[in-house]
Amino acid sequence: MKNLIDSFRRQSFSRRYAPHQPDAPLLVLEQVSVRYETGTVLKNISFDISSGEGIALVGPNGAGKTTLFEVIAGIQEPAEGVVKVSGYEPGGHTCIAYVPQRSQVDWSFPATVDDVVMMGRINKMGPFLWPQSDDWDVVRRSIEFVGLSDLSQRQISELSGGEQQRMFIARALAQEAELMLLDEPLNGLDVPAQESILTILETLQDREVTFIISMHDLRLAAEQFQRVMLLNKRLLGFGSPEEVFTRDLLLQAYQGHLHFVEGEFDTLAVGDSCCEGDHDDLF
Amino acid sequence: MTFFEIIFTPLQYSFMVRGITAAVLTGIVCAVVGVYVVLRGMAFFGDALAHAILPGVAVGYLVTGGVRETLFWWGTGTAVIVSLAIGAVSRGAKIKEDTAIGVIFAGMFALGIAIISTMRSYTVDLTHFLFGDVLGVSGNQLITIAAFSGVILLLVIGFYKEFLVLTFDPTLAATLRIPTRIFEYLQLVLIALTIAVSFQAVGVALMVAMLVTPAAAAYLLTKRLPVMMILGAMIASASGVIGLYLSYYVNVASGPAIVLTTTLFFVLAWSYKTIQRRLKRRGSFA
Repeated sequence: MKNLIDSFRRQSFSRRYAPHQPDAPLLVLEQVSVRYETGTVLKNISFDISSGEGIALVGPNGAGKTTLFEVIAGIQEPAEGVVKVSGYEPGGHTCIAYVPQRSQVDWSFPATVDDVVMMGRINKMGPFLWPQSDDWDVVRRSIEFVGLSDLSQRQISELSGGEQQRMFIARALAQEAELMLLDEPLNGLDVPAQESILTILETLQDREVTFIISMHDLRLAAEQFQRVMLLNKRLLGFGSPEEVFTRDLLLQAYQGHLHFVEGEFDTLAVGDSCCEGDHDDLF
Repeated sequence: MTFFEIIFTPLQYSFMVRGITAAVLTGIVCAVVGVYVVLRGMAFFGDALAHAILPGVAVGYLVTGGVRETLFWWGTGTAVIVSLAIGAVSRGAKIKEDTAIGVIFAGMFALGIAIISTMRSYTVDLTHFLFGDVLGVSGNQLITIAAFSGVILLLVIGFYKEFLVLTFDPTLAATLRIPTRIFEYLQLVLIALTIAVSFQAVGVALMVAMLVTPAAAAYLLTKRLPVMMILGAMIASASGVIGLYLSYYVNVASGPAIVLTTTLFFVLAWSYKTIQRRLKRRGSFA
């Protein structure tokens, strides 16, 4: 009887989400601009992405990478232009997950890994309902997927940087996200931790999960991703690393804050020196 | 005097029983809502809001000719209006939030004292308003306190997961399409109601201690939010009982006695945590 009531409540009260148009591309942006009081952050951005792609987003600090994510996630309204996720505006979708930068989170918050991953499911439960066994099941499998099963009862400050980032990916999985927006997840991580995250992302692609990952390390972006996006307020390039990471476009994006070395392509810039943070070890 | 006598002698007085019940109820509500105050860094907001209800209470006191029973409603009304006003001002204006709170807080508090100073029984009433008079709680007041405590706790439990996400990661709340603004205002209203409920027990000047101290002590001792709420509620209600016994036997004012007891709990929790960390660090070097 209790189950019957619960399922009734779930069906009748759970919020209605935007449906998906079957043949629409997963993500389309048309002439999107965003302005803050301080000036224009994004200008005339247009591109589209189909399901199952994994894309690296690069650009200097203040290029609007986080803002672009916010617009796609539907938490920031563009001043002009249209964003469509599976054919509909992003505001009604819950299939988009924004994976925050680690610095945005209060790590001393009293929560365990389980608790944080469960947060991804709260709108799948009806109002006033607590997690059910199938929610716990999804949480357990998501944590297992990112390899944190042994740490699921740990307080989140006890995790290493890489583990914290993997926990957020598990939360996006628990959210049943089809599009993940990962905001500089590799920042401040050592090479093994970076590799474990990149491996997880590869496996995600096999599962038809689409993702955009913003990063600072141009060499890593070129090595790991078939498609890269170069942003500095405008979309300067979107395509294979060979097409996008040309001296010309990179200079337009970084305006001299670059180290160039001879590489696989004519000249390859390996990193921008204008970014802050403690990731000098990446270059 | 035997232990039983120490425990039961004060309970012969019905005002003590009512006082203890009120102190326990307000302690539980303050600690549970205080968890969010602590985690969101809203201690100053809580302190300001408590002081800002004073003019409302004072006007109510004047209008009703000194009837204590209706003061709760005056306090509640003022607290809800001021909390929403602070929420709106800090959202819209160029002024930083703590400055906005400071301006409203001091202005309202001064207005409250100005109104009370026109009354004949100025000092006595002001003391009660500032530091509480939990032993003066009437049966009817106790019923109101209990009813509102119940409502507050139901809201906290009912919207537990929404408040959790909003507190930990507002961006996630937005991407999950939770109406964040509504819940933010609801959180402010909950704090306002808590303050109105606790006004009689600890008064406006010591309110922030009840909101922050038990929750902060619990924060030091646990790694999960629900445990923090339960532990905080236990610390706060124990402080209520111990504080009132202290006030009975040592003849200290009840409000300060309760607050001093919670402070003692916090110091104990903090010392325990510090010693534990030292030992752990030494262990890892050994």
